[in-house]
Amino acid sequence: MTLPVDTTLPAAEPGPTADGGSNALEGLSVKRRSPAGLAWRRFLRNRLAAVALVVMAILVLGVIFLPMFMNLDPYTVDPLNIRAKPSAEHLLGTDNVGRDVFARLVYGGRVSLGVGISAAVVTTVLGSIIGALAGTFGGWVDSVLMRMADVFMSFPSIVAMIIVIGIFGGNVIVLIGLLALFNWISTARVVRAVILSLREREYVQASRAFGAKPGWLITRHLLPAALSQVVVILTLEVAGLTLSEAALSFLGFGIQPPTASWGNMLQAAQQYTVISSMPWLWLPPGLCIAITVLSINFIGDGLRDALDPRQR
Amino acid sequence: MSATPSLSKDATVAADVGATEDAPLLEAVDLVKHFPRRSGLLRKSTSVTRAVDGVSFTLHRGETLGLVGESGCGKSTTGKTLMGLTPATGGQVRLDGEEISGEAGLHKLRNNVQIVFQDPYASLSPRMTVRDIVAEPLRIQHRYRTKEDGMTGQQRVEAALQAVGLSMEQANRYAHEFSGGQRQRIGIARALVLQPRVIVLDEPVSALDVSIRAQVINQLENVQNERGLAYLFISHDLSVVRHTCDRIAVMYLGKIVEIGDKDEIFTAPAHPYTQALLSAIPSPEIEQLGQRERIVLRGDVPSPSNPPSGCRFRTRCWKAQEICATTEPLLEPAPGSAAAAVVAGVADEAVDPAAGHRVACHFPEAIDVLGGEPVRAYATAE
Amino acid sequence: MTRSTGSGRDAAPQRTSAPAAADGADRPLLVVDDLHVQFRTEAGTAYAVDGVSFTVAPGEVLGVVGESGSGKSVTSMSLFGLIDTPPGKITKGSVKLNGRELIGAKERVLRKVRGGEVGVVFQDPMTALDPVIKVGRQIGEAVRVHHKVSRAQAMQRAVELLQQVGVPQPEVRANQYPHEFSGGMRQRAMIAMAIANNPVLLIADEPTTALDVTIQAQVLDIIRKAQQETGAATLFITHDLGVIAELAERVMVMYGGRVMETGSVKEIFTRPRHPYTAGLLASLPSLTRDEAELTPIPGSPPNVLSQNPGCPFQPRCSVGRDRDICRAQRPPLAEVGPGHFSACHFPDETPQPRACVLEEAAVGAAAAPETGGAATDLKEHS
Repeated sequence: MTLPVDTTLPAAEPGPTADGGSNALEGLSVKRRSPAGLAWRRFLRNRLAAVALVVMAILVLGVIFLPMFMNLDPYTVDPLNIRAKPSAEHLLGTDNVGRDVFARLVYGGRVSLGVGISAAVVTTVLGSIIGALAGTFGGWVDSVLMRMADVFMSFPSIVAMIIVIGIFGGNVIVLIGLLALFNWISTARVVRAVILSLREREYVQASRAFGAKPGWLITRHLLPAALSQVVVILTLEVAGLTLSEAALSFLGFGIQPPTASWGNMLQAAQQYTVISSMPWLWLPPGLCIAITVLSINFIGDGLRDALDPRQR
Repeated sequence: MSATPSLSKDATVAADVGATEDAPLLEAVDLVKHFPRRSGLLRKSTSVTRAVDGVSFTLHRGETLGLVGESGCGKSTTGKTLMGLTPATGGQVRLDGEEISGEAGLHKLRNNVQIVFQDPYASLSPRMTVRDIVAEPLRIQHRYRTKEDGMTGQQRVEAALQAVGLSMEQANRYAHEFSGGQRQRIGIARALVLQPRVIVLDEPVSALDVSIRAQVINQLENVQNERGLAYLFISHDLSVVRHTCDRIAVMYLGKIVEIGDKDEIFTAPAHPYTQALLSAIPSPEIEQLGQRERIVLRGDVPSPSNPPSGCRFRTRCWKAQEICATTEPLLEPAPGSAAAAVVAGVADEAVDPAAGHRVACHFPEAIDVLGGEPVRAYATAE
Repeated sequence: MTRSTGSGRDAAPQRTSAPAAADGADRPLLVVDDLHVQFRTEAGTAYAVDGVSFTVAPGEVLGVVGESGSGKSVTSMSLFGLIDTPPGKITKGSVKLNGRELIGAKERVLRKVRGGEVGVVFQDPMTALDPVIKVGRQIGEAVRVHHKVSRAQAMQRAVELLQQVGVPQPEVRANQYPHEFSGGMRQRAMIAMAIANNPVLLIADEPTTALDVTIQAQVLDIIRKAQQETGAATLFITHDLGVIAELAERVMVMYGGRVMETGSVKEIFTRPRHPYTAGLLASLPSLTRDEAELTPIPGSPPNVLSQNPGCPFQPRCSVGRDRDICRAQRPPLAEVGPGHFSACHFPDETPQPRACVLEEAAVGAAAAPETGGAATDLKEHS
């Protein structure tokens, strides 16, 4: 299988980096390297993160492209062949109603990762906008937005989500919306803090001295500077939200069968006999969730170190 | 203006004398900036830091006015308030005799008055190439896409970089690839690109190494002579100020305590604070300055949120009397100055008493501290 | 008094005499010989200190002056194990305090030396003062580390020390926290702590750089007084030539991790024998003289990431820029006058700063014959 390496996550990295800051040997080496290029080199030097990146790339590419090369059918019920052991025909056996587990794993991965990634994107965008507004304008705008954040923080989010899904039903869009609604707070706080500290930076003040309006400051200086942190948060949110989706689906409030997701595959495998004697029903989705979350967390840590070398 | 191609500094100053009759280029009138300190849930203002408390000065075309003082005296805040970077609490800023107010006023101010910051590291965005950094003011002012003096925005950016001695080849690099001195040049180019008439220099060489400092100072002077710029030079370093400035204002706790021509301030300082400053600057000119008397002031600078009554310097002054605590001294012509002679009716020259050497002290006395003249009152007070 | 050796790896001819014999009764307190300190960085190995030798006599004040990256601070920090290892590493050399070797000594021994025989004053007192412990207690603890005294006795000593460094109301101040002190007061507390155990050597690393001129004058007075009262020798590190002139008897000029010149303050400031020292002095604006233009040192500070086989100042030097010997051979620190050493191949050609403005024109005119001279030199040495 050939992997076009420049899809998925690496695309996020060549974004602007944290400040070059004033390192001790400033001005000594005059090499032409963009801040993004420097960060990318630092990232690759972190073995764990680099390996995690490869693992994630394989996982994502597999989920996207495998159905094009293999004949995978996650929906056909085969009543004569339920809970069959892994075999040449069914790589990971079949489930309670005789569907191919490997096919469901691949298609479930599309849903789980898709929900995780899009919810994370929506969460971070929402959080960044709110944080940027609060940080840039300050005053009452800041007070109102931050009190709003406190309110959302004090909600037991899983319970709230379950209630909402109970009322409106659980389609993918509602699920993404809910996950974003209850998770933007941390992003907003970080972006706000970064912007508050950047606002007093001389280069931002200089920009104001040239007559820059808030819109210019946010788009040209503040958000790009916050971007490195936002990228890190985004990555970690993907892990967290993939896990949240799995949890909700496991409880029966997330993705509804027959659509497969890693979470509802686990749910279907809850019975004691299944757990004890039919590992092909729960081990693959469980492992996929664990590997995904772990890899993304490693990537997130690697990114943080690469983008902000002063934190090490 | 004289049209001599090699416009020396003296020529610029001479031309400026002619312009003095006209309205000053930039004028601060009773500028006030108070920072409220808020605390508590309702963010009530509990105390006020009087960073700038009634500062007035004028700046003429081609002239350099030095604003000196120690940290907390309000010199930087004066510069920033003048630029509209932080709204003034009171007073006026006038450009060409017109008061700056509203959006239109600010717009005019931005295109005529620019600023160079102290920290060459913090003042340049780490995410932009040098070319983008210098082009930013033009883009913000929507002047990048228009032709001015027959030059495109890009050409004007390149001209500004060339004016400070940077090559085009360097323009595509990021700021972190440059040394402190080069970064400060980039900062100057950025201030130049809007073709302002005034540049506020906020401690422009304080962060630089000694051997680099002279390069940047010379560069600033070249640019000034070529373009006829006026500088407001904010600095705590009196020797740098002596070299670069035509006139000097000494600030203490938000107020100007003495203002005058460079020579008057350095050879006939009349305010005790100016005398103390001049006597205390460490200098390697041991042969020339071996004789001067050292004045070591008592105590610290009082907090600007609770300045002393009357004269603000009185708590550290060896001349302080009762009147100093009750009555605030006003800026008045210094003893022995041309302006004082006019006031006394001794001379009837065309000297404006409100523009010459002035000092805010109840007991002013011109003493050539650097020349070794003793400050007798100090010796007896100790 | 001074015994400085050239640390030529190239085994350049050693013209170094041993003036120590002249006043041999004065055994030096501190002898640093051929110290090398390297730092490992992302970009490569930095040769921060590259063969530095000097001595300090008992009770003497030695000023160390240099720009950023000259290695002046690293030198002083590495003497008593204050550099972080890694990334820093002392790769070679010897440091002897009262004849005792300190390089390679155990941390326990070094800790005893610091705060005992050696007192250290840093630029930023907040790095050395614990923000959550009262100042008096901190000074008392410094005493208790080295002497067996009760807490009350230690506190009493702390109050005495605060009084000695001119802190008003020392009993009250001793019970305050560092944040309640102003910058100047904190620096006084720091000095009090440094002299708490009657050190024989005081190391002051840019102790007044962050302070205002009038406060700096106070703190310099305190250091001078403390130095006289305790009789401690002082190693005073600063970038400010003026401060050196105020305080030190002897000065050591550093550049690119090496000693360029050392000698009495008077000699060096009036008749420097190294082009770098002369360049530094010439680039400073004068407090007493008008100069049309400053004379900067061209170019930028050296790259400590590569080891220069010749003189580190050569690329910027008006004397050695075009000479092969300066490029290829490290000049030894050789005696050029009584107690005056210079690491230059051509100390006699050093431009003299007092007449630098006139000199400059002369140098310009003499430029052509000078290159001729370099050519003959080339022949001699090849």
